[in-house]
Amino acid sequence: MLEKREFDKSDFFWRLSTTVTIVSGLFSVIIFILLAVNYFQITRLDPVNHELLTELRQTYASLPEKDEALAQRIRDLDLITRRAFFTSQTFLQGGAWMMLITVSVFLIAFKNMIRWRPHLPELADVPTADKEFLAYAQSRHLITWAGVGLLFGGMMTAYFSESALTKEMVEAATSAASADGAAPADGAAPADPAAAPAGDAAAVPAVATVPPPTWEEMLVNWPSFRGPGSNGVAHFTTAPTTWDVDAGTNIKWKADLTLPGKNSPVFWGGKLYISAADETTREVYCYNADTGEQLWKQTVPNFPGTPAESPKDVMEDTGFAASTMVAHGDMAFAIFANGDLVAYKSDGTQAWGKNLGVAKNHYGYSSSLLAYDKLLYVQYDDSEKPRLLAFDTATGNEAWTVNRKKISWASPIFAKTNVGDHLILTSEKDVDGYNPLTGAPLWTVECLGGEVAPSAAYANGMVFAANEYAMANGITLGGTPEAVEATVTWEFDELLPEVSSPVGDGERFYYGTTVGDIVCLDAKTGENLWTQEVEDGIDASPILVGDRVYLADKSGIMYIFRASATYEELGKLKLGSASYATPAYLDKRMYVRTPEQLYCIEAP
Amino acid sequence: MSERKKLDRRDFMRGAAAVAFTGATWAAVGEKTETKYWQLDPAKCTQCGRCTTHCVLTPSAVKCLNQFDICGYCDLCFGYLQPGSRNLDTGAENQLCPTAAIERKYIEAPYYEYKIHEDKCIGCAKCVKACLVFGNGSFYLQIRQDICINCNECSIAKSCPSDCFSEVPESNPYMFLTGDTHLAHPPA
Repeated sequence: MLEKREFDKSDFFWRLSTTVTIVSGLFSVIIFILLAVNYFQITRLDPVNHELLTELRQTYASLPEKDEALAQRIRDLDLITRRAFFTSQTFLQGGAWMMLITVSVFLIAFKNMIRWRPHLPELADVPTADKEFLAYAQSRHLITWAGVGLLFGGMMTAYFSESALTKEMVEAATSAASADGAAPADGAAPADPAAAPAGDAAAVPAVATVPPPTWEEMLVNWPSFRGPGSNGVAHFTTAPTTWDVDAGTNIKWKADLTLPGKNSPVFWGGKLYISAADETTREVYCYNADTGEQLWKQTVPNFPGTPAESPKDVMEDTGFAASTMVAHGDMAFAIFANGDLVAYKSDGTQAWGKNLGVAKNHYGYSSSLLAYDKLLYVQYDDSEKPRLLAFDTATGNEAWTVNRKKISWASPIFAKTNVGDHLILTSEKDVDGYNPLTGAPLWTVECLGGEVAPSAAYANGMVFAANEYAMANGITLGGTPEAVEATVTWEFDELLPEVSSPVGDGERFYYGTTVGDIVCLDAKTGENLWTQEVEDGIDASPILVGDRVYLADKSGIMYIFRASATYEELGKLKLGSASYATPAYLDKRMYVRTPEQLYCIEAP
Repeated sequence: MSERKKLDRRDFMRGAAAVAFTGATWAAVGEKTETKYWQLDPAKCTQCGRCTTHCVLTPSAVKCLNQFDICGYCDLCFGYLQPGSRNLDTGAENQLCPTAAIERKYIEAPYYEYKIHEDKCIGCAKCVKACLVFGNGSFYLQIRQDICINCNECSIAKSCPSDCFSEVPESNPYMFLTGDTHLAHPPA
């Protein structure tokens, strides 16, 4: 038997443990690499959702007769994909155990290797002078590396920081140059678009020389989804009440659409804008609102970061151009499911564009844009990083960002409330108010749930927000502009909206449900004043036009009813096709988008 | 100055035994707090598919169950068959489940039993959604507690869009479906 002393010194055990350490270490590394390769392969291929298999199944189902060869191909591919999936699972589980064992062996062997490592006899103490010399040398090294570290840190900070000072200096310099006449004056011809590379926001002049549109200008246009401020209220009260699409009665013009898009038309200064997209193409169109003539069509180019492939989570019901554009003075903005955000001038020249990254969103991005003053708002519903972004409309530079807790499929609204101007957003949990100029959170109320698609509505001191699987909530805004108090005054939990956004007339709120009801609630108490069953479900949003409300169901029937405490139908008219978009309401005119057409209805 | 006594092995063993005895006594007579387990409420679930992708386990600890007293034993089962299936049989071209985790077994004309093989189920909820839209809604998801490692903060619960995850007591760790339970319909 070995004596303890001899055991400790054993060269044999040292060699043995060293060999085991090396072998187990190598094994661990190999297993780790194999596991990682397997993981990335299976993540990339995603055999349980194999695209080709899905396509083949759809093709098989659509054939007029049974195709045995295709059925066999599907079976073969199904077997391969499932085998790949389950083999991968088995490998992952087995590999994880092997990894655990080999790493354990490695650690034990490594510890013993250290223990049994032969020790050379220690040297006598180094003379004092040498120790000091070594200490000096060590200090020099430390100082050098600390300096390198500080330099590197400083360079990284400088690289990743945006210098507000620099931006202000550029703006000041450009303003001064404009004032001196050194730069093109207001109203000068736009810069040659070819001179600025597509998608390069930095290449755009840093200053807007045209003052931003005022709220009064916004009111007499139809700048965004559900009109000015996206609040569902039309400024003009002369919208048509009779038409016949098939016979052409009161139909001023029609334009055919080819590329799909569920967004609603927006209007500014006699021009009508819509966007459309499929998996490969994104387009923006501008029409003469008087004649229906297409003034220009732009294919949105790829920007830095635009993904090569279209996002996979987009459902057919959502599509790649669900978000309604914004028309804001001389500019029009569009956003698409792949994260491309683009700004065009009203003459069709691209002002700026960028890609925001593909939002992780399991039905597809659908939030509509909104603009006020100099800012363009994007409710960017990325499930990993939901946020509200504000961009300078002239340059595309990011003005501010607010991180949010949860996503939704709704759109922001702008409201001039009794306690100041507010941006109001809904999410899967909350209704939130923000300062439109700074993005500062003003209030939040936790009252929603489920997957929220309806936006909020504001009228007469009350915010209304509702969603299926949650509640309809009447939220009273009070306090002061500096300290806003938001309180849920009432709740209603029976017939709730799932897609359609509500509208308020100050005394009542109106909305549609996907099962096909129009619901009216008392704004002060939440009492259900009336419910009207209609012929199909409702995805579009009601619009208040004077004392009338316009609301279309999915089959394309427009219901016109009195904004009152009882249901009084004023009209029930066909739009000629299925309806998902919300029309734009201007003086004596309605601009309607169906999947196939864009047309104008004009009152006689 | 007295020299500090070095702890020998015997003293260490005595100390360890005393600590173990004290701990065991405290555990035996102390107040019991019931362990909580994560579970999902099928009435709130909207079949978004995140149970497959967001669980820390692969495959997910969320599995589909079939509540047989609600199931219609339909020949044309929408939870089992692809939409527009040409034949009502077990061919891969007709099956909806991506891992073929549902077994279709003939009972008597025109009834079939649909049994879920949980070792194959990945919790994607495709069958749940289809059965809910067109059928009786007998398929539903549950966290299998024998598989779940009961993370302190459930990874799926963090991302669930309908907040249907909650912690339930050990004595009642499942939320079984009953005939009158209203399941959340998938969003339009």
